[in-house]
Amino acid sequence: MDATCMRRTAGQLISSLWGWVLERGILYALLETPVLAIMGGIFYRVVPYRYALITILLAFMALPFWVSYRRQVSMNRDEPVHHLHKYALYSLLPGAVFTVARIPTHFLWGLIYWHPWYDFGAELTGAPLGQYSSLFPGALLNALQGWSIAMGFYVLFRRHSLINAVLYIGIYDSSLYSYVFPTYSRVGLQSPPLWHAVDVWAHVAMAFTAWVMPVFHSRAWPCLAGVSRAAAVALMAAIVLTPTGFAFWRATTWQFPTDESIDQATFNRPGLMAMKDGPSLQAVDLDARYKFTLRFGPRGFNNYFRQARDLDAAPVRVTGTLSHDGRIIAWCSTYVERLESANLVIAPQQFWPVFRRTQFTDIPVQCMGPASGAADLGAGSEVTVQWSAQMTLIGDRERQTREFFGRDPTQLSPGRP
Amino acid sequence: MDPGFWPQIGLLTLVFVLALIPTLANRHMERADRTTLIVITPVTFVIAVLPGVLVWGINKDSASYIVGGFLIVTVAILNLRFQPRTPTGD
Repeated sequence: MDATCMRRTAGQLISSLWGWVLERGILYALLETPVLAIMGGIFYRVVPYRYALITILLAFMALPFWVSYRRQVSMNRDEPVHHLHKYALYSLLPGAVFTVARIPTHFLWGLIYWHPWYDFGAELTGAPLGQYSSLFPGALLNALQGWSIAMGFYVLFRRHSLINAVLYIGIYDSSLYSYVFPTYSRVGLQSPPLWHAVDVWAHVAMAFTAWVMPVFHSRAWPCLAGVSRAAAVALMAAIVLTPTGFAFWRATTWQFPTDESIDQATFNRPGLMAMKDGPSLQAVDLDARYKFTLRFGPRGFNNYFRQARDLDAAPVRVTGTLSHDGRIIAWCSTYVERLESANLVIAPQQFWPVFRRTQFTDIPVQCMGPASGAADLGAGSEVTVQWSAQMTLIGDRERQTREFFGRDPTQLSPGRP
Repeated sequence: MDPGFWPQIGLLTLVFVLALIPTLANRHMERADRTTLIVITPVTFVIAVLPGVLVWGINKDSASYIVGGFLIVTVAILNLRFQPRTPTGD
């Protein structure tokens, strides 16, 4: 290939690429900002999600200007800007079908599709997880992302064939989903093969819907009139509303009661707070200082979503006394603002080591008494530890203020004199 | 290697192939569509998947994307080459 031919080829390539950017690339980028904001703000955490949302606002402000410009200058009737209104309507259903297709898996295998919606909603609004106040905005964001993905299909592809839909939405999107969610989002969760297979199934259902919508509009819709057309609209509206409606219904009737009963069972575990290490004499100068250790746990439990969680406690106040021969020789207290918790870990890879470490949490308690009380004490001396611990137990959904008591006759351990 | 690696990759490959079977009935694809699929898959790999691979290595989740991407590129190339000709010649 000589230089002239190479230059001509390169010029054609650049011209084609530039044409693609003008006809589809910029439009695709503007319409995909909801998905990009989720990826950058929640998964990859490049910027906080509420700031990433600014890109959506800017994109949707720029969109009408870009569409208007391209409609004026474009001579290509196949360019997506000329069909955007149809695509926007077509795109309402595929995202909803993506979720509706997973409803049977909830009853078959206990899969819960709306769990990430709490994360989306909480990141946007700051509302607590597991509440209606995070579920509703999360549902809206999820619907927006589904609409955005479908719009991307209609804009990117010249031919809206079934194979293009399945390759783009059914395989490309689902395989990206299969990577991103377990790697960056599913903290404390297992992602078995079944979860991935259901993900693919839902995306393929979405792909089929994206393919069907233009076919329905061009072939079936003109044949409908009056009652049949109203019924079709009603059916489509029902499909669009079902994901949110089902999630709210199931959250109210099943999720919240289940989570509350799990929390109560965890709060009522026997021996949740007990003495681990008996008292030891730490130092004697003007006062005698002692230390003993309480152990809180086991803390791990699985919530309604089968997500591993730590039972939290904040704050923790411990008071107590050390006695010897019926006399109090020291008074004890400790205060912990909040225990270390795996629940605060946001990266799935870092969760499990922290979760294993926090199954039991040691709470050292310092005691102080007059130096004379320690005068006739040594390792092995009989002492009695009386303690009480007040704390607010924090489960997945509920909180409960509890007080634990202990009275432990024991022997003084060797310590630092 | 994660014991769940091959079960996950095997099941995903099976589901992907099953999903492609109905597309044999409607598989018209233009050259630009093939180009889109061939370009978007590796570009997404580089931007979204490769950073994680460099940090944690290839695991069953990154392999899931690789399998899907390989299938997309292969099917796109073969489909365009062997699809029935349309009046436009594509």
